[in-house]
Amino acid sequence: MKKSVNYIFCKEKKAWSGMDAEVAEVLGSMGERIEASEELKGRIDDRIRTLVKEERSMNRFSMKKVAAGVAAACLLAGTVCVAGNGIMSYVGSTSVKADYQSFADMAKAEEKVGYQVDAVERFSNGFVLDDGIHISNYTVENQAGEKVERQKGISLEYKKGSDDIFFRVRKLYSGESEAQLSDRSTWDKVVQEDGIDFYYSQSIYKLVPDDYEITEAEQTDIESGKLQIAYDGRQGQDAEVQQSYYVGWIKDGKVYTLSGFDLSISADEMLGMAKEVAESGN
Amino acid sequence: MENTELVRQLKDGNQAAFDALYEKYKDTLLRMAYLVSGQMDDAEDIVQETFVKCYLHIGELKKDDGFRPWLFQILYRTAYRQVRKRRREIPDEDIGIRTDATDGITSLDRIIRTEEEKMVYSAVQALDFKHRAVVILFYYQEMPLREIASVLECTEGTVKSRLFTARKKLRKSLGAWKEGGGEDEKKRELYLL
Repeated sequence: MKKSVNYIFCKEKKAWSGMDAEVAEVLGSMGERIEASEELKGRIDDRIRTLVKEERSMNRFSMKKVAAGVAAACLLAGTVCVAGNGIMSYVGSTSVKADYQSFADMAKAEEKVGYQVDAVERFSNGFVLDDGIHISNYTVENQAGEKVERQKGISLEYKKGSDDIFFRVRKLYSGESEAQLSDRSTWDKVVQEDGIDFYYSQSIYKLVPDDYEITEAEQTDIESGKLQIAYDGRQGQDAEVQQSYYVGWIKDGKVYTLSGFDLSISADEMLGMAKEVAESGN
Repeated sequence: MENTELVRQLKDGNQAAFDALYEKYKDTLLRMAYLVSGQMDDAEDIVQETFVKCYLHIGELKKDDGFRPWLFQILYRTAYRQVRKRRREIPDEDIGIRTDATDGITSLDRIIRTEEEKMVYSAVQALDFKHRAVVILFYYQEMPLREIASVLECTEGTVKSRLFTARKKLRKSLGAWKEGGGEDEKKRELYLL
C-alpha cells in the first residue's frame, strides 16, 4: 500500500522525505495484514449487554414494585412513573475520568449541566471530595426501550478512611414529581428538616455471575426493595454480598442521592451529611 | 451512511448504527492498537474496550461530526493504560524480548515479512509510547496535525515537537541499520524474537 506523506513542516523535510515514505509504506503494508477476528464483535456485544444489565439492575426497581404502589423508592432509585405514559426507566452513565479536577470548578460543572446544585467539598464528619467532578448522562427509556428524554447530572465521590460515599444529583424528569414519594413504607427512616424529606434505606447488594439463578425468596426481597442484584459478566463464580446504604431527597426540582457500600457510619450520620448538602445551598 | 447520521442514530439507541460503526472502524482501530501496543492479544482487548466505551458513552460526544477523533482518543487512552499495565507486569529489560510473545512467532511472521519491515517495526517499537502514537497517527493513519492534537489532547505544537523527536530517533535507528548497525542491530533483533 503506497501512502502519501505530504505534510510539510521542519527544515529537514528534504532530507527526511525518503524515510517518511519508507515508514508510511511499511506500516501501511503491515497494517493490511491485520484483521479483526470473527469473535471480537461477539465479545464486545456480550460485554455491553453485561454492563447495561448491571447498570439497569442497580438503577431500576422492578415494575411489580411500581404496580404495587411503592413509587417512592422508584423515584429516587431509577424507575420513573409518568401518569398517562406508562412506566419508564432511566439508564445513567458517568465518565471514568473527572471532567473537572477540583471543587473550585463547580460553577463550570453547573454551567455544563444547565442548573445549580447544592454540594460541599468536605463534610463535618471528615468525608472529603476525591477525584474531582464527574458529569453524568441520563437517558429515559419508555417500555419499548425507546429513548425519550436526556439530561446531565453531577457525580462526586467522597472518601474517609476505607469508606467511599457517592453523591449524585439530577433534575426531575418530565412527569416525575415529589408527590410520588407519598408512600414511605419502603424506607428505613424518613426525617424532615426545613420542609425537605430525607429518605434513608439499607439493602443487600449482591454481585452475581451471569449464570446466577434468582431464588423466589430473593425475588420477594428485590420487590420489597431490600435486595439489589447486579450481574458482573463472570461465569461460575461465587456471588459477592455487600450492604448498601442510601439517602435521597428532592429539593428545587432536583433529585439528590448519597450512597455507599459496607460503610462504617450510622443512619443518623448519613442523614446528617444529606442535611449538610441541602443547607449548603441556602 | 455518513458518520454523523450513524452517531445520531446510535445516540437514539439504534443497535444497527453501532454495528455499522464497528464494521467501519474495527480493522483501523485494531491495526492502530497493534502498532501502538506491539501485541496482538492486547490489541484486541484495547479495541474491545474502546467499542464498549463508545457504546456506553456516546451521549457524551458533543459534536456528532467529531466522532472519529473522539473514538481514536478513547483508543489512545485505553492503549496507554494497557501498555503501562503491561510494563508493570514485565520488567523493562524484558519488554523488547517478550514483545508479542503471547501471540507467537507465527503471528508476527504473518505481519512482518521483510527485513525492511522488521527494521521499521523495531525502530517504531523502540520509541516511547507518546512518540510511537504520534508516528502511527501521522504515518499510518495520515491524520492532519490538528486531528492528532485532538486525539492526544495536546496542542499542535506538542504534536510537532513529538513528531520531530520521533523522526530524529527513527532516522538514527534506521540509518544505523542501513549502515550495518553493529550493536544497535542486535538490540533491535530482540524485539522480533
